[in-house]
Amino acid sequence: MVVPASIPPWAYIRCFQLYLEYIQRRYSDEQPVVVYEVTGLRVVQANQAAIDCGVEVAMPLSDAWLLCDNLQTEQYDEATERQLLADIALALYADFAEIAQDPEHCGLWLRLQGLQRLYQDPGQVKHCIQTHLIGASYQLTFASNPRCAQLGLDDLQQPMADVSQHCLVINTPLEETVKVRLLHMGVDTLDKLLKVPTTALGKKFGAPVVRLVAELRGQQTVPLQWLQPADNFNHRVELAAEARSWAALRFSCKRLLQMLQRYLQTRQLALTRFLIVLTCRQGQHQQIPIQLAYPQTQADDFFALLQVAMEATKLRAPVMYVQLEAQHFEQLQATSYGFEPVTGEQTALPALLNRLQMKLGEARVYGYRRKPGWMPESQQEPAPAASAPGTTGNLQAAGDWRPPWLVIPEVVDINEWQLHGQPQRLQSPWWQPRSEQRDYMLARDHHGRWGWLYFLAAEQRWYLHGWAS
Amino acid sequence: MNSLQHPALQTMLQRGQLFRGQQHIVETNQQRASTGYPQLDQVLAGGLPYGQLHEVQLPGLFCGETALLRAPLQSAERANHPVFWFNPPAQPHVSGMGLSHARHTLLQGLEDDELTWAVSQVVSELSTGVVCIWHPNLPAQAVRQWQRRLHGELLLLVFTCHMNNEARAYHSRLRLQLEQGQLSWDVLKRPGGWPVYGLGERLQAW
Repeated sequence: MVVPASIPPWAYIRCFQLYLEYIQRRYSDEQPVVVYEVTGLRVVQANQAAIDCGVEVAMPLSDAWLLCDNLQTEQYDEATERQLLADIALALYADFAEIAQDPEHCGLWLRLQGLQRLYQDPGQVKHCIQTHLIGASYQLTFASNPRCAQLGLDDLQQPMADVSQHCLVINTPLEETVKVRLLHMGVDTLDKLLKVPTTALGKKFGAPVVRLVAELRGQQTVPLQWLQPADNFNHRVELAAEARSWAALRFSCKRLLQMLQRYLQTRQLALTRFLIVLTCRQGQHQQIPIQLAYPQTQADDFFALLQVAMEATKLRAPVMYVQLEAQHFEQLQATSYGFEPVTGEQTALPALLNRLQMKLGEARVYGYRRKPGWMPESQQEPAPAASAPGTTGNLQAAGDWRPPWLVIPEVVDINEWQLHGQPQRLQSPWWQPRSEQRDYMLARDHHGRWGWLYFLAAEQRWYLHGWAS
Repeated sequence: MNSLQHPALQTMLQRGQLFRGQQHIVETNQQRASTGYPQLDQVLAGGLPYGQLHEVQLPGLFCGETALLRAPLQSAERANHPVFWFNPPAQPHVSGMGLSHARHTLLQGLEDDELTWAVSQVVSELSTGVVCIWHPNLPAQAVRQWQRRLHGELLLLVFTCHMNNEARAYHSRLRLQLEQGQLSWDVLKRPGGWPVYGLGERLQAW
């Protein structure tokens, strides 16, 4: 009987050149590109074309220039790389609940202990991570504790003494002065460090080295910053070139909306409004609010509305960044259609109303519903579009006739009208501030049209309040 | 004497009850909405067919056109279908119209291009329900576009106070005259029949 391999407790993903891969899309693969540090003017990341030319990481930028004539250089942007790492962490959060970020080393810890039921073997974990990191170069290490995983020591496959032989002390997260002192003592690899008695390490190198050794042995926990996804969705993408029209923004907006869709699907949420912020080179912002009549979850639906909004929007300046902010979420409601097949109508109407409201404004697209009221004009109120008026909340007596159209009451000359039928008295209750007594009657004008008039005794005047033909 | 000169036949021809050969056979199985006026229903083979675009020309607002809405609204009410009101001349009163279950959407204050766009969206997306449009004079292009996009059982009614005789792609065109409470309907265009003029009806309140 083959016992399935259990998954290791910890995994660590190290992304070597996240920022380089981010900016590489501006260049062809054959173009040598390096990312350099401003302070020391040294190469920190180099693509394969640059490496083929002899460029190495940590090399002075001047040397790299000598090796490649057509070298393209980009300044390292730590903030952007951290944001990219955070984006990866958020994407992985869909499959891994416990994620800690290590921005200094551009890595992520994944705690796998509680995921034994989801992933039976390390291969499944690898596959899952691969789906989120397609196209990225990274190193994945499984280990028994977070420090071993961070240093690339797979202590589960081989004994610690063996794997630590290849791990240099200079790669550890110790201070530089401590590393130099260790090297002067001849301790250049971790296996040598682990052989030194702890008491001697403490006396000669202080607490940090003792702590590191304890962490490597799993005797002490590593302080980690666990990922806590924000309650809102807020993402920004930088455009490859300044966009001067909506057409140039479409791709980036679609990408953001697909991220939003994944975010909503993972959390079983729906959205009724979001904000697109366009930022130009000088830092000026242009905000485009998108309001939905009905909650949506699909990127295509959001995009259709955004398209409507953008067609009516003029860009004030060329855009460098597109940001999507969403804060107001609703729980996704399950819709039951019974045994009847779901028709296109049921799904098309909310999307249609969203589009109409987006283009024409909420104030011009609405519905009506009944509400409790004594007077005809107060027996209905505006409601969300495509609302059913309902049957409840009506104080109108059964059998009371009402006209099909209501107008704002206007004074009429009763001599131009011919009254018909019996009057109907409507009176608002005495406890209301403006209590009125109206005597309604049907009447015909000189054309023969049927109007609904009332006589206001307090003013001794006739008003037209509706039409019935 | 030519048999067609017979007064009775002439009357039937004028009323559109008798047609010469090669006439279009009216599809009697098509679902129709009663106009609320018996003579008009008779000429229209039962009423205004669903899934089509119809124009009603009026001498003024509230001259008797509201009766045309009764049957379509009741049908929408029974089936919980959507009802769209584009630039209605007054506030539809839900109690007066007896509306409870149909899903209503009002679109007010639309400019011509906005109205054309919005109706196109509705016509493209929906296949059931009622769409009522009030507009002075719709462009021929918009009418043709809507008629082409119409599908399913969606009923479009266009009310206009412009007495237009120009050709339009409406399925049927009605003209209303009102004098001293006496209605007179002219059927300017209908499928499978000639125009019919002067169908008299008494204007009743809703």
